[in-house]
Amino acid sequence: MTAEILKVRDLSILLPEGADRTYAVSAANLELKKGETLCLVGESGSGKSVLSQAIMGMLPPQLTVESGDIRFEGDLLPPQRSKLYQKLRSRKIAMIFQDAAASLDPIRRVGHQLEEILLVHGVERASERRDRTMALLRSVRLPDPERIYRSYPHQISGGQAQRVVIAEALALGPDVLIADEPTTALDVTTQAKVLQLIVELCSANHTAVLFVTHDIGVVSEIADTVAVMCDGVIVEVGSRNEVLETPTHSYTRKLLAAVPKPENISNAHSQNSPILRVKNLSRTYAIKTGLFTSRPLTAVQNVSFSLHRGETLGIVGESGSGKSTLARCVLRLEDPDIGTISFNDEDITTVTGAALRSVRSDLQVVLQDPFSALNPRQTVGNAIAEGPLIHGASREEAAGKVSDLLKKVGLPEQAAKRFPHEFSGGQRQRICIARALAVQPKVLIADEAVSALDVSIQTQILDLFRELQAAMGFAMIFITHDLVVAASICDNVLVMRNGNMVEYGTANAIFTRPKETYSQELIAAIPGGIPRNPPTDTNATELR
Amino acid sequence: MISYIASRFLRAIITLLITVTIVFVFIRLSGDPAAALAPPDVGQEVIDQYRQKLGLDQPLWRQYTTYVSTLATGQFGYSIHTGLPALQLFLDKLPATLVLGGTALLIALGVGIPLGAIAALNRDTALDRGVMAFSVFAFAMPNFLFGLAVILTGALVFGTFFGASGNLFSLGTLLAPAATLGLASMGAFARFARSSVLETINKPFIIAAEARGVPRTRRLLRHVAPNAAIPLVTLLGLSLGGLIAGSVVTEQVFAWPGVGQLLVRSVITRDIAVVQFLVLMVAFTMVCANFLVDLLYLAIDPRIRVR
Repeated sequence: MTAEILKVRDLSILLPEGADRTYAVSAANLELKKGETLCLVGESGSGKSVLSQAIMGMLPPQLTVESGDIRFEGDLLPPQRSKLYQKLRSRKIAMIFQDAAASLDPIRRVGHQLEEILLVHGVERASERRDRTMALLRSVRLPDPERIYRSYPHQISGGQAQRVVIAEALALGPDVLIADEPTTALDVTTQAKVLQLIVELCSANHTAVLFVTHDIGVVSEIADTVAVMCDGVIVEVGSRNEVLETPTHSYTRKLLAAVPKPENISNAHSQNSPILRVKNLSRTYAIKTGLFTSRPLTAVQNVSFSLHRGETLGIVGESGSGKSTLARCVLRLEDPDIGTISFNDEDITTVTGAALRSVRSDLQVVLQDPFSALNPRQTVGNAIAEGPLIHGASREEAAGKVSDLLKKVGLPEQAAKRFPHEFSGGQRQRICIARALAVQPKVLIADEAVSALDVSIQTQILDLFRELQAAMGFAMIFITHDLVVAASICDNVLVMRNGNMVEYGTANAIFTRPKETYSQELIAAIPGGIPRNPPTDTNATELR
Repeated sequence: MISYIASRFLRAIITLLITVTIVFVFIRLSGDPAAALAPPDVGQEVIDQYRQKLGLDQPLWRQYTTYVSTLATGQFGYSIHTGLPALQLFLDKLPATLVLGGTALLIALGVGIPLGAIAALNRDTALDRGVMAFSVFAFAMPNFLFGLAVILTGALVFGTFFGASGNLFSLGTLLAPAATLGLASMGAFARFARSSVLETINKPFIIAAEARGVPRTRRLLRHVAPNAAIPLVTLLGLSLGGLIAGSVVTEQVFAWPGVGQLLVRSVITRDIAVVQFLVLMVAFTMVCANFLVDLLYLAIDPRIRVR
């Protein structure tokens, strides 16, 4: 008999009045068996985080449990936020959060934070706490545990922080581990290692895992069982293979279909001369180390590429690889130290004044976070019209452009009079795209433009980029850390690491036959692999 | 860390030098000191004599270097009215002012921060709104008006004088003027403490601590309090200026025999050497206080200590 360790029965959690739906979680049923890994999948706002909070007894006071119960090893769990819960947390049920670095107290040493858990759960002797802490740090395979013990959170990397947080969660050998999007903030290679670590440690200790995620790739990698959640309702539960291969609910099918897939690639643009050409570009920053001393940090080193009309170049790399600095240099928001940028065969590396202003309208950017990229006190219409007005359009022309562009990006014309906060993340990104296209750029740079969006919204925005590109013919530089996204939209791909270009070639060549070890590692680390339409190989030509 | 301290120290020294220069320039701009010092209705020769005696006939740059070098050797000039060294006048009045300012600061911190923290922990309740209304009143209230109200209340209701009388260093005498002086800073601390605690308490690491089973009291004392204290240190540096400025007025209202009163009297009597020295001392206090605040950051925030 396989024992259920955790059982959620008919759980309904009421949202405060005035929310966009009545229940955060409605009539949820969930069973977690000993040692099993259950993936709870859903988009943001689906109620998956509320459900895991409820299991931890940490529902915010605005949310109330209306009916149903949660049992642990057959016993009812105490009421939400009750003191009795403190003894269960960490000891029976532990939780790790999305942003590991942020879940560590910034002003206390890492080791002391681990020891605190042992202390509050009754480990009296200081020497025992220290020994166990060191053992934990070693068990999550942190390099130089002595140093990590003494470090403050800002002195360790994101991946190390996630390992520390895992060590904290497993400190008292809990029976259940709730992991709320624990790898979303990590780079793809780090993500793969952290996932592997969670899986290994939990199966070694027979810890059941409730893994909350929006990433189907991760699900296919680690899940025994999958539960799909939508608008507070668990719409489908089943084994991994059942849910991923023969989904029964329409929402699950929609979710699976939304995973970006690589398109077939054509290289018809290579004949005419490139619209944008970057040659041997380098950018170095001086990092202040003391009052009069500094050391150089090379953000971009000797990068070259060219971009043709109507073509999409993907710049792929992990955080800190220099891809955003490269974009800022191309946009002339920052000056490169060495190298040239030519636009339409004209050197724009050092142009200033009116010449630079006219180039500005040809090079536009869409940024990652649609929430902070729009001025909250400017109407959508004004935001879109601002560019054309600056570049000499009349008010009527600008207004015409606004309504035309809103229609093109799939928003109603009345949107022009409203303010950014009235729109969702996906809609705001559409506004940002309309704003960038208002000055009819020849090159559009999308810097992680879909990374902050839910997967189904992501697909819509990627489709929008494709449609607009086909209609308007601009070239695009698509900067992303997400290889699946890159594979789905790019003609050519440039892989970057630590400021250097690792590999540059057609998307097809790089994703099917990566030559460099680092590219191979990156592609191997994609959770679940690249969802593949077997690509036809005929067009693949090497660019370098 | 050494470079942090060194850079802050250098900054303090530069600020002091600038202050010294500004004081020098302003005194020269405020009219001819010789004419002010000489008795009225004397001839030009007498004024010239004064000028020679005071070194005012020298070129400006020489006056400046002489001024800076005498300051550096610790000679701060003499009061023209009493003939006593400015330093001694200052030191005589310093204890009264230090005790008043210190008590005011203690009241501001000791009452303001707990009030703010209580308001934060009872967010959106009547208690929260009450505390916040009180804190707005506290820092909107000009201290000369509040001081008068306190003295009036003392006289009419309690039948005593709440100002300086008898032993200056007893709590009974200190309380009314110190509360008046500290009132504005207290209001500011209450508001800052409230928003700082509110911000910290919703941080992921506090929620994570709860998920690890850390009890609430320990979370508040060991995690929220030290993190919430960091922005308050900034306010501490800022409010010292307010306290010094406020002490001039408060000492006047409560007849408190401190440096503030000495400053007002010296300005009225055009006792230039004393005014000049007091202004320098105020600047010196501010600079030292802010240097100490910078060191305090170092103590409570490891992100500054170890990069």
